[in-house]
Amino acid sequence: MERGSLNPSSQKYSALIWRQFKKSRLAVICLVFVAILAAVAVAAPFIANDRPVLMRYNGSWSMPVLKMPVALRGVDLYELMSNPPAGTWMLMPPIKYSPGSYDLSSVLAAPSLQHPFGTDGDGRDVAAQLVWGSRVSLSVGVVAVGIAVAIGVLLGLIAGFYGGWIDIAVSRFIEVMICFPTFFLILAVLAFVGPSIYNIMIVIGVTGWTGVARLVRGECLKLRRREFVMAAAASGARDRRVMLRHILPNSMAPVLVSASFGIAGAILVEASLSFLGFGVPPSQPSWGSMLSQAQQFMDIAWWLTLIPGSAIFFTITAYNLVGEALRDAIDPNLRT
Amino acid sequence: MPLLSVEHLTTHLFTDSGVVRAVDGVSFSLDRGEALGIVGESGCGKSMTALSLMRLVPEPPGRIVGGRVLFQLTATGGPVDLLMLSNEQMRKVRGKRLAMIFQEPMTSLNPVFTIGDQIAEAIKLHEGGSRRQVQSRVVDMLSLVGIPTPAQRANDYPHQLSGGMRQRVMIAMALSCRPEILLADEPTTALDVTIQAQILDLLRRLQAEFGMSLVLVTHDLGVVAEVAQRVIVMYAGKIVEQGTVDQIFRQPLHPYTQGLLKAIPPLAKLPPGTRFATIPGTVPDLAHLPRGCAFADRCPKVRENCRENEVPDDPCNVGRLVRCFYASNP
Amino acid sequence: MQCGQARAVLLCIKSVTRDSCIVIRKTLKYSGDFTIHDPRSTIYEHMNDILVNIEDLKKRFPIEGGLLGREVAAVHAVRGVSLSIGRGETLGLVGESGCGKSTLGMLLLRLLEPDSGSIIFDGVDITRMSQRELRPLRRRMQVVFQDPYASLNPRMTVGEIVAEPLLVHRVARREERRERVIELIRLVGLSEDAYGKYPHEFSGGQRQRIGIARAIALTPSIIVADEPVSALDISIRGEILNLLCDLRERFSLAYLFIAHDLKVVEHLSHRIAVMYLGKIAELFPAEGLAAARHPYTQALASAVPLPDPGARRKRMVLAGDVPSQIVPPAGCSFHPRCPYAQEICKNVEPPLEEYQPGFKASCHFIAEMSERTVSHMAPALHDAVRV
Repeated sequence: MERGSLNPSSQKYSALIWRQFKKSRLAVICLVFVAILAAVAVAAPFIANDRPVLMRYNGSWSMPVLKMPVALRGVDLYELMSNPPAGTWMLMPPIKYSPGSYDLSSVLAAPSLQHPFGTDGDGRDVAAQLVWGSRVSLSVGVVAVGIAVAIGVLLGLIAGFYGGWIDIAVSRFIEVMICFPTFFLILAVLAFVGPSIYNIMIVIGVTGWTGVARLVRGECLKLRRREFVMAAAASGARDRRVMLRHILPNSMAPVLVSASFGIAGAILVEASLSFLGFGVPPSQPSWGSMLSQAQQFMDIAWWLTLIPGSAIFFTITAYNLVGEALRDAIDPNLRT
Repeated sequence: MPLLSVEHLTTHLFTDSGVVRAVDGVSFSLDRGEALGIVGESGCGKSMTALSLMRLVPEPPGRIVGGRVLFQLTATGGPVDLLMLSNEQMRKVRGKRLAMIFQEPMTSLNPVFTIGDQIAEAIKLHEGGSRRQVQSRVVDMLSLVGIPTPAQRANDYPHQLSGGMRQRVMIAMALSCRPEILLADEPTTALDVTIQAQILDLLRRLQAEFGMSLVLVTHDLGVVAEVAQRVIVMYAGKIVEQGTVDQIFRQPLHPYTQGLLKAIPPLAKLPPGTRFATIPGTVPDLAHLPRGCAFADRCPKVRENCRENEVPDDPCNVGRLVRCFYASNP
Repeated sequence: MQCGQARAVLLCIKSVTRDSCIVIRKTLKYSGDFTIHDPRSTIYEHMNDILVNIEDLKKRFPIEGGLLGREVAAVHAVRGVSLSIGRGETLGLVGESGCGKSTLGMLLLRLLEPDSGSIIFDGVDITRMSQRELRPLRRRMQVVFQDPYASLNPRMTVGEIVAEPLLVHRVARREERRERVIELIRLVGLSEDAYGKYPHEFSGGQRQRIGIARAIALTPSIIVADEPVSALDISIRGEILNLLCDLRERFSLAYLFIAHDLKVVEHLSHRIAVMYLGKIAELFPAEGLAAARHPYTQALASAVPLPDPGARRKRMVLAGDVPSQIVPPAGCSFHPRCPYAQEICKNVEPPLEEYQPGFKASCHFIAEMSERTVSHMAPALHDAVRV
């Protein structure tokens, strides 16, 4: 019988999902939070820096945040900033500190107007570290999950589409991978290759694809029997076209959900690694290493643990809630 | 006095694209022992009407927003409005007085219990009795619906049975408490024709045997012609024509009924070049119904006033419900 | 008739593909030799021109069990079917669910691999061809599915869906392709603005039209129509059937028309094959349903509920269910339900034999299934004609 005759509203599938997604206000708030976080990470140099964003010196405009102008070569910028000569105009970022700038005059300062989130044991501004640390967290999350999704989709598609011994091989491989305790595997690998942000991304990505692969394989098995896929085969379409044009787009929605959860997981793994000292080098601020350094001041400087801790907490919660709302949105059983 | 009389039953679905008037002021009555057919195409509101009678409308998005369903619950007292009963009272009516079977017998049965257990459950719920009594009732019911070796079959799980057998089990379960009314929502649509013939025969036989009233909801006019005594034709949430089976099939007066009957290919080879009769156009969007007659856009007899005025029950005074200003023989 | 074909030729010249021209030329040749007024009978009389020939085709689906995935049993879907379809002929394939009719259609298209037997398509044995070798032949055989909701990719626009076969076979360049697609969309009775819309914006009937446009995009020689109207409302069915009729005349298409409903198949087909448990029970010209004698065909015909309250006839209700496809009954597969079954039916399998010109059946007692056994459903047939 004719289904859907009650609902002839015209929309793309993505628009349909969005409409469903919007129904959850909390999810939308989380999505906005995630978007702001991404913007902060991208724009970190413009948000927390000890150099001016824009300045006019000796009659020429420059952006010292990005590149030291030629006119300033040999000039002590910090000296200049404290005593600007006439005709000099400067626009400072909202947080006037770099994560690496030590201010030994205010060590372990509690949150104040000058340092909204206080300073750490070396006099570094916590807000600046938090802003720059988001770069590490988010890039590790996104890139690692990107790698995981790429591997998972590829293997899952191939296994589900061709079946037979290929499917058996891939499925057994997935099962073997799942049997490893992932976190200790990552620790072991990092002990060999050395901790750098790139190695972390790759290691998390290479160990985290199994869920996506299983998901895509299942979707593929289901879709392979669908009539539109049969119709494509009947019109002589090659396997690659059937996979990429017909099966993949129709199995992307659940992958997106799993990616959202995956990012949350990867951020947590990165924070844990940094906390244990296997993460990014200490010169690069990250939320995990901030927490790790905060340990020794736990009893006297609450802000050092609370601020990066809640940053991790809220970010992971936001990604998880977005993923959950997405999962509900693509579930046709919940659609009204 | 009719056993059941439905007055201005109105059920809406509150969806994103607007309020869908799934059942839009439906009134009819059902006598004791009568077989009533409700026919129409998908989206006409026939299933939603049956679900509304059972108060099983999925909520949300649906809600019964108006009307009365008067059921002669006791022989002496006045009729009771089912829509006014508490959930607890309604639960007691459901199954005991008013039972329903659905199109898909597989999904209507619980796969993890044997069919015997499921029928026993229905009996215990409403009538109770000792284990022995219940068990013998179960076997009686299964043999009544024509299941061979019922005592052994009672221990089968739903997946061990064929589609036709499952529908028989559903019927056995529905009839286990001897309800006065059986609502059958497309009971044979998922079945093959030879099995459909068996199930229709069974329904007819049981209806006569039990003196039960039957409401048969279907899209298949052939099925209605075989089983029903009175027929309701629905379109876009409204009853467009109502009459005895002879009136509907021999003198259809509404253009929609006429179109539907013509659209059924006869069981005979037509002369070459004959076109299949159709009703042009599609069912209107129930969330944005046009003013006037909902069938106007597809109607061959449409005139100006059809699109402007609400059509009353019997504007042509033919003596039965024919919702058309220009009701006439084809 | 002549005028109609001239129009078809014009249309063909207008369209770019070469195949359709050849097909039309062949049709023209026939009408030159014979002056017959119905185009379909023209084609029907020349069935010696066979397009598809299926010989003893078999297919079973293994059921795997246990840890090692050993085969524990098998569903015998198609158990030795021989059939032929002429150029431009419509063969109706009727049967209940599980009789193997859809599997047979998929085997013919080589969307499933047959276990044994042969499929000859236009003189070429395609039974064991690789998918790569088959690709050029795919232009000439297409499919229309039952479920208009599952048969269109929800992520592609109608334009992309209809254009896909053209794209896959590199027919026409981009602008030309767009023109062809729009022409096809119009041909199946949709408006041009369907091009950029998505499938879910259409009703079931309209979606089925889109599926048909995709199927005729490459002007195939045969379309396997797998229950194309079963999922549609009654008032819509006629439109789709009429469209299929029109396209058949326009492009000299052959159809393998699969259905469970005799009423739908009968009018459209030239011949009808009735399948039961993976085998052909009876094969007869569509005009000859009333004369078909196999007890299963009779039961199938008499089970159809007719929209006539007067025809509450004494019908032949078959007892029991369709037997298991995993362990099909020995002898005649219909014997457990057959009211006329004798001892021999339980042990010996009857061959499919011609019992009168154009009628073939597999029944030991087909000669004794006289007009008398047929007659009890005859009044109902007359009633139906009157309606």
